[in-house]
Amino acid sequence: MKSKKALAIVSLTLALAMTGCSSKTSPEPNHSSGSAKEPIEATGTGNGNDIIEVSTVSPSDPYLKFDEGESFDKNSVYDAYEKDVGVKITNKWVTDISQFKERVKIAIASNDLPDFLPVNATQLKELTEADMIMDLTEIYDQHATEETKKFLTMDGGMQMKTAMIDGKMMGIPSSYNPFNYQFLFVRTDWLKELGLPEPKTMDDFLKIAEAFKAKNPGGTKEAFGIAVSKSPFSIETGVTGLRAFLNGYHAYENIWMEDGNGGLMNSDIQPEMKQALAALQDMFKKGLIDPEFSVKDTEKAAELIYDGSIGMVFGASWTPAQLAKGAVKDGKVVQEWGVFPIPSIDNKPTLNQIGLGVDEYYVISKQAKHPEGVIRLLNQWIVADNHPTEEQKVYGYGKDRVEKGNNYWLLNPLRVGKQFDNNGEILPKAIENKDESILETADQKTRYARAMQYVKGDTNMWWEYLISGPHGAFSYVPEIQKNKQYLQNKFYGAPTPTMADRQEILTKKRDEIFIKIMMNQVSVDEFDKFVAEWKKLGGDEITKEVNEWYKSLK
Amino acid sequence: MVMKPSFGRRAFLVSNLLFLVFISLLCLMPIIHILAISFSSGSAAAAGKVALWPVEFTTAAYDNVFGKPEYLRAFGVSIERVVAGTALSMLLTIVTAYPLSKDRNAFRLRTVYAWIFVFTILFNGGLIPTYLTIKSLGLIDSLGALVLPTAINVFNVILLLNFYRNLPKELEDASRIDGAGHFATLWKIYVPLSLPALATTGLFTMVGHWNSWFDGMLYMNHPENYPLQTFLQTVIIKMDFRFIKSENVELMLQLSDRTSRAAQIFVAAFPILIVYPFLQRFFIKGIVMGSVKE
Amino acid sequence: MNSLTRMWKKEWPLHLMLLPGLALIIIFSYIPMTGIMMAFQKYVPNKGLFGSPFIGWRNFQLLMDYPDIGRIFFNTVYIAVMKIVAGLFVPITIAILLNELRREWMKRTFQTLVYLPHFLSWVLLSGILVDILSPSSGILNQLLGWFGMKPIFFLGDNNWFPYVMVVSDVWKEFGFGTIVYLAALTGINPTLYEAAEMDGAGRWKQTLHVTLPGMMPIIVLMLTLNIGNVLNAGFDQIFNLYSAPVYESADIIDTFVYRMGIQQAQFGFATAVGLLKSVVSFIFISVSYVLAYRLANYRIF
Repeated sequence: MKSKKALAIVSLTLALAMTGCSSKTSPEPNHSSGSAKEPIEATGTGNGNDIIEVSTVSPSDPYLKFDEGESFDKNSVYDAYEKDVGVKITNKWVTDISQFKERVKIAIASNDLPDFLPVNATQLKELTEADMIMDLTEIYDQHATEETKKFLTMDGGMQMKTAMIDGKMMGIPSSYNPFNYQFLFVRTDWLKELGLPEPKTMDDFLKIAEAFKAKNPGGTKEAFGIAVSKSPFSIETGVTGLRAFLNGYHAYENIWMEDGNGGLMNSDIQPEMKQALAALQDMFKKGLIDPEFSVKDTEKAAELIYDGSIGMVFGASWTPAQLAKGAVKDGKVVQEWGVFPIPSIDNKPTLNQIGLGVDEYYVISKQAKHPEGVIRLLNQWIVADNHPTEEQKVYGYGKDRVEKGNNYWLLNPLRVGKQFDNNGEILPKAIENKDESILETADQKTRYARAMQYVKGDTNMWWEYLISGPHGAFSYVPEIQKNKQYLQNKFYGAPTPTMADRQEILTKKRDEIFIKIMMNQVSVDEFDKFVAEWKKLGGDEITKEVNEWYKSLK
Repeated sequence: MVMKPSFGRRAFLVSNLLFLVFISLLCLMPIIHILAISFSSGSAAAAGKVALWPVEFTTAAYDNVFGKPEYLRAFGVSIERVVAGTALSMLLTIVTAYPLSKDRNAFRLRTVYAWIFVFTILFNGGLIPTYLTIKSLGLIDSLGALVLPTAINVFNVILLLNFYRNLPKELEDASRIDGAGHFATLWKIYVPLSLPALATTGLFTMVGHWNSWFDGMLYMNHPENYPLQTFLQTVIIKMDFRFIKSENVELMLQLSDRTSRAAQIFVAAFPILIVYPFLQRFFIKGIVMGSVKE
Repeated sequence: MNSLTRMWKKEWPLHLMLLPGLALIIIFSYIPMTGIMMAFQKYVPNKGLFGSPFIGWRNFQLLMDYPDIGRIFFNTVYIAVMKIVAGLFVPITIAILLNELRREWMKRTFQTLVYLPHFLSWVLLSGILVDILSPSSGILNQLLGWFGMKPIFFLGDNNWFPYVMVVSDVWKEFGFGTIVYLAALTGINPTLYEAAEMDGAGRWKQTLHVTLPGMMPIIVLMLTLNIGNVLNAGFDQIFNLYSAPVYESADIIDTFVYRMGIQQAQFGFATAVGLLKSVVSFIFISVSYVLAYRLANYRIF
């Protein structure tokens, strides 16, 4: 009798287990029926059309500060989209920005996509192959406005091309301006103090580094020439890296470049790289680089900049925002910095290595009922971000339409940026002449206002002046642009099969050898061994695949 | 009984004390260092100037954490989670460890059962299947997602069953002769005599619940439901510099990593730190033997 | 049949007691374990676990073909084993020393202080360790300097890195680890000490013959459970502290899988490595379980 009861219990547990199992594979019926009902209930407040609903997922950002009574469920930006273009936005989930990509990965793996979401190139390919996302070619063609189409092909269609798989448009490129260059930042007060010239060539650069080391103008325990952190070649190291230094030697970190025979080759194994590494080793031997750099992350390496041990660093245009932590103290500027283009080792100009300006794509799920709603959101964003009417300022600032640092632009679920900006032409001029009239974009207006605050004596905005002001980082951009002093990675899209399996070991070996060479633990000739190893460990295979891909483009 | 300790004994006691003072300082120094950082200005901390005393004293880092209205709510979720999670978990642990502590004559399938439990420490299905299971049970956005999957902590069960086994058999026999069933024996004999072990496993459970943040991130679809540790993760922004767009530059400047991370440690750890001294009162020596003598 | 019924009559409350726990682990552990299949699949999200194509041992092949795999396994086991041994020895010693303190408030104060580091994260500690261990300005090297030793680049030197990992990990966790041994000490019968004293045993002898044997079941238990960690060398710690020049001595399975994960969109590889680690742990735990039973006639669980 009793064993029967036990049996019943066991089978009950099992049954429970089975339901857990089976409902796993079926796509949550509750949700879809729920979302189908709601639009009917909604009374159209828009332009006479029915309100359509699209779902998405959002990262919550600590710098997004909601106005009283607003949240991701209900806020003035979503209301504006509903009112202006008749699209009601709902979030399937909201998660912290730090975990957003992880959650997207999980959402994809569990086949639980919202109507639209941002994904990376690998996921774009994976989703296309799994037939989980829509071909947008026609929908985009029908519903995107002329302005949108022009906006997203400003660069001649390059970024748009990366979103095409087999001739079909599978995603909307979340584009931005790829022309983000690196610069050399130098303590100009020290240059003056020591009577040194501005760094025009690599030679000047070295002399300055040596002088800073020997004279120690900061008066610290030990001075160094240039600030370097533990992953100097990684693209993620925006400041305290050495990619710019490599570029000065015409060497480039892991990009695919033309080999002169109509094919592509990888930059990591070119002879210029060896020369650059030899130069770094030389600098290390002379004590121009902190011997402990290999264990310090950017924040740790920057300590030596803040405390006055180091007066030179390579970095992106926004580097002054990092430098400000040490340069401005108690309302006074205590370190003066200048920006310079990356010097070159010879008479050929330095080419800045840059990416494509698109790493993410907005894709639309096959299950989406109203894909056109997504395109409407896109159209509206481009209008509201670039030339908002007074009314449309709600998209950037919330319902009171005034800038108060709440970063409401983060609430817009679908954002694309300009593929070009003319900040370099406009801002330095405008700031120098205090001429507001030539400003074009919202971004320029904000930056101008910040720089003006500095001019008026607010040292908190010191950094913006060094970015946007005359002789700021942006002021060098038009020249670089005009003379095409940049080198763009020729490979884009999802990694090739061998890349997916082998890129990790190639990068690991590279970092290991390069940094050991730098630190003078092994001789520069190890580079040649590395090249041979690189080829053997999958580099040759990858080169073959990349070239096949390259040919297929033509 | 009062004997004068020998010289060797006294030498030992003194050096033992000195040694323990030394290692306690070793443990305390970094904490003081972090505390000092949390009360220092961002620039002093960034330049690495702070040692064991705040430089340019400020409470800005704490204002940043406490200044958010979400803080109290997240604190509430955490308390709820710790209380519900610990209560449930302890109840289950107490009950589960009991049959497994029997020897094979008293409970023939015990070893099979024990392995069924131990197996789950070693093998797991990974993120996706676990997520799918929790989702299909409708636990997303509920306290259940934080409390149920970890309710049975096999490590704690094993620990407790080992303590159970060390209880004198006479007590149990006596209780059985009095006609008490398994449940009554467990409740009246085992539980009161296992207080040190229960305090230990209870502490582990509480600390585990208090410290875990990833499940909150994973199973909560609305940030309003984040427990404290998950919420605190969101206070510190880690920027992905590859995707830095010109609009984000200002955010970069607000990123005063070090002080807020230090403050976070204290805000997050303080409530749980005071739990331990409180639980120490249950570490009573001779609790078991005392009861035998009675 | 008869004996079965009798057994059931006697034992049913015990089965009943296990039921809630069993139900929970079936739902939250065993059902998700179907996900282990991913290790052998090219997982396609909309086909699910039961519809995705199987690719055999390819993920394991990828792991075994990895050029540095031997080195990585060695590093993992080397660091993990040292951590297991030190992580057992230090807390036991400290627990015994704490137990020698006569004043209750002192004991409690020390206990609380040594348990603090457990609550610090490696992200935060890594910055502090870089400072403390710096060859130019770190406290430790200054101390060594007083003894006429040359500065050591602890975090940047392959000869030192693994030991730094072990020592810093023990430092962080030993206080938390003592708790369980302190609990074990409370279970020792005080009359045993009295009897030993009668026999003229000093404190040291008492420790050897009463304290340690009394703690033995818990020590064996902790050892067995920790042996399951032979392939867990501590991801958070190493990830935050390692750098390219020490890959040779620092790269462990988990850091390697993490770096692969950035390149690959698939979950298959990570699942395969996870499965491998589980199997190894399972073998180690089983062997030590059997050994403990054979040698000491003690069932750990």
